[in-house]
Amino acid sequence: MAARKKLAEALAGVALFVLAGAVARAAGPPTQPQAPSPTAAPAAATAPGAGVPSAEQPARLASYTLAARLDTATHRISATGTITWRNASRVPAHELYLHLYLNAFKNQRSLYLRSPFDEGRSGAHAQDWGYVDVERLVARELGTDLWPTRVPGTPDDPNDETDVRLPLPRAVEPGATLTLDLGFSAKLPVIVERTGYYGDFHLVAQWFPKIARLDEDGTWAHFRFHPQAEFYADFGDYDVTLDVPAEAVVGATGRLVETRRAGARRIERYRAGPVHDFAWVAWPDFRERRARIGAVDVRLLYPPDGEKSADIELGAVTRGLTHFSRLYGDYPYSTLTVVHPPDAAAAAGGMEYPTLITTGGPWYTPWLGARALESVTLHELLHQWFYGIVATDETRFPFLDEGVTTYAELSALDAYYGSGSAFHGLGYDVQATALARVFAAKRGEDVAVASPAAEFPGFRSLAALVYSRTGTALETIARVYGRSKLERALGRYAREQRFAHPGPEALFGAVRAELGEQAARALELALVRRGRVDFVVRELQTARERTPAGVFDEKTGRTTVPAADPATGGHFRGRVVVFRHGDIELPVEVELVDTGGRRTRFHWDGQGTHHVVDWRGDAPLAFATVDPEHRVLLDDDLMNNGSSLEPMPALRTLERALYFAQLGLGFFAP
Amino acid sequence: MTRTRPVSPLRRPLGVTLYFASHAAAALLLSLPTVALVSGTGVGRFPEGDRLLFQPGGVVAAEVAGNLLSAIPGHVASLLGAGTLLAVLLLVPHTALLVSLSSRENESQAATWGRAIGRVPATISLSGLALLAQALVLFATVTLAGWLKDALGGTTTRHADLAYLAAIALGACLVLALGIVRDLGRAAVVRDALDSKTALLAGLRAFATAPLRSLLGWLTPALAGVALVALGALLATALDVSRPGAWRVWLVALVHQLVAYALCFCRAFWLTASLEVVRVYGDPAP
Repeated sequence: MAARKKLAEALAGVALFVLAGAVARAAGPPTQPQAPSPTAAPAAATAPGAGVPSAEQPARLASYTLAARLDTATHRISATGTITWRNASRVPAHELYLHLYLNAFKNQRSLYLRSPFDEGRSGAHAQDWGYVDVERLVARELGTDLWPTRVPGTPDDPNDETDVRLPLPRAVEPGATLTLDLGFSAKLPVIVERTGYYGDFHLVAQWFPKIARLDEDGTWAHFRFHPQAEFYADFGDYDVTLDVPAEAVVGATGRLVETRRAGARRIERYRAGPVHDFAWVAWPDFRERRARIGAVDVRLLYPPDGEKSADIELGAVTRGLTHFSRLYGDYPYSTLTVVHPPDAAAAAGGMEYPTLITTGGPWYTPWLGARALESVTLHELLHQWFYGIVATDETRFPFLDEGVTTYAELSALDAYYGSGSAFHGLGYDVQATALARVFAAKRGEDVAVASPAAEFPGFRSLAALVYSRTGTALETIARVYGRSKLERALGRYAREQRFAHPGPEALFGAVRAELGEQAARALELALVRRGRVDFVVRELQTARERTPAGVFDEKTGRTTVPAADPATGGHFRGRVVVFRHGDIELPVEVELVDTGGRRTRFHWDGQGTHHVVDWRGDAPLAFATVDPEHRVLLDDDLMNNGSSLEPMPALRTLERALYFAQLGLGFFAP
Repeated sequence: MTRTRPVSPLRRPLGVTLYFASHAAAALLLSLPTVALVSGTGVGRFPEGDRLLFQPGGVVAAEVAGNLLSAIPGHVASLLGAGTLLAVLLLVPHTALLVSLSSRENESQAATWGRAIGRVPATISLSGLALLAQALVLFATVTLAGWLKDALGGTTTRHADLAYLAAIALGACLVLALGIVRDLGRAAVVRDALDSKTALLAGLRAFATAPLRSLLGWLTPALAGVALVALGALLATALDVSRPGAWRVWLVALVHQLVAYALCFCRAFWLTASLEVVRVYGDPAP
């Protein structure tokens, strides 16, 4: 059924693409965005955007046509436009929900700012207020302005103005379309939470009234803008005309289809679709690089002192775009804009919007040895798939975008840069997965990873669990069951859920299909049920093998076998008990090493609470190690994975500590 | 007062060796708590031992660092305390080395150390004064550099950062210059049995009179020392203790100890140069 529906939508998309293109060519570039006529509304609601292959056109349920003027002196945006929304649920809609995210920064009564602690994802408080003033919101088909009758979207928190409910005088039937003509002005804050201004730099994000997503059963996915949460919306087409100072260099979601000078101003028109958000930047000092990677026009905007960073970021995008398209399905758009904000506006960095990502880092980052630029660039690029194309609910299941992205980023970093994927320098290599593990370990029982963003006690917890623990859990699955299998599973998930809004079951289903039930169960335990695992080696024993001695009553009579000399004999026996604490069952290897250095491996399927290894060898047993290759990165404590009869002296540590102390004393106490 | 020329460290190998040995013993004392801390994490329970800490990727190193995170501040504080105490105690062998380099006459080690101990109080007092001056300069430098960076806020971040770094580098040069003056003062204490204040003035006078000679006398062994440390790092990297083989550890230890020993010679060359500068330029003009 689902496949048939998709096919029907795809065919409709092809027809409408041709129609929309013909209309656009005939009309020429409008000076003001043209709102679709009421009769054309259903067509506009599903009109395909530029660049996406027609065979995979999803339904456009919320499309926006906006014309915005940026005043760089007051940091205000005045805008008019049209929202075309289609009720894709099975039930009539008696109300609309609108997100006014910028109101999170309006005053300290908002959910975002009311805490005295810096709780936002960026850890920064607003230094200047930001808000949206809606002037009108006329429902064309209903012939009424909905704005005056608005009520708080979350009734028990009327002080927060980010979630607004708009009662409708007449229900919108399933499949029907509503056209909203709106006018609004937005005041940007100083950069906070990846939106706002710093001097003449502007990152204009979450700036327009955005209609919430209506689920199939008629439930609105509406929410207040929580400091730890991100966003969720329907796909649609965006046709946005920007009026900016002529000297501003602009980067935006989608493809630039028109640009012209108007006195001291410049008008740029962007079209994008199918996407679920639209963000843009404007700064006169941007430097620019362009590259054609496959079928994608990549544009990199960076500050004047960021040449070296730009090299690295463009390299990462070039590598990643091809690699991720192969793993997770083709990048469906014809443009990608990468923005490196100036250092003073660093809080604008590290964010994803459809076809536009922001990276960031001080100008000296390339010389620090850490792969921070590669990491943030690949991470945000990966969000084009796990947020942009697979449009999960970021507030309800943040691990589906941030966690899966973190795994894919760590995996890519390790594949590209090997053991030095996080840091390479001073003779040391640190792998990104090793660092992620440190943040994620021992936290399995804190909060379920698959919790809504608002249920985490703070952003640090969310970061450790949603980002690092999901990444570590998936990395564990990759190491235990095979990376190529997990990549196939994620590829299957990303392709099957392309332009859809899946929940966790789709991810677990794909893992189950490609890696089997045990892997899927382990992943589900780790992410949904606060599962944990800790392998512990205990009871390492070894002794010389002996012939039974004593008094034996045989048929032939009683015989006495004297005890052998304990210092003589042939073989040795060993016994090791490995315990699995926690509920995640994963297969592991157990390695035993005798005093002669001979290694023997045993396999344990991970079932049960413990596993006893009986060993026989030519020399006494010296060491036992469970999971010697560190495949189970989820293991709470790696240091109890080994046991020995005689501990090894820490000679290397002594040598290095002694030398560093000598150097230190020589320098500071000559 | 003795007016004899100082002697090359090459002619005082025993003195330099004792200086190295005292530093090595102090370093061993400082390093043992760290070794105990790391051993306590259980890394010795694995057949690879602490080789795991050096393996590429750093899975176990990150684990150990994570486990020790809460213990590190206290450990560093105790190391700093012990290091400060040892630094004061190390002034004895340092002064003994200066004494042995200050005269061409061959005297017994007992006599040398006896003379050195007599000079230690003035040396400690002088070192304290110099340290205070260095701390003040450092504080002023960081403050001024911060103001400079703020004042350059209108330019690009790189310009402001580079200006900040340049100011800090300038301050660091002043701190180093004060260190040179301190060393010249110590030479004056040993050579002319001066009290700390007079010796500091003699050091200042010598530095002011012959800045280039003083700087060259310090810079040449200092640069040689940097080159030696870099060479040691290259060799240690090539030997790669993360790979199996105890011989790698012993060889790296040998390389590092040779570097440390050579650094003591570098230090001794500067001490000889400081004694000579003070001999020639340390007295007030007639």
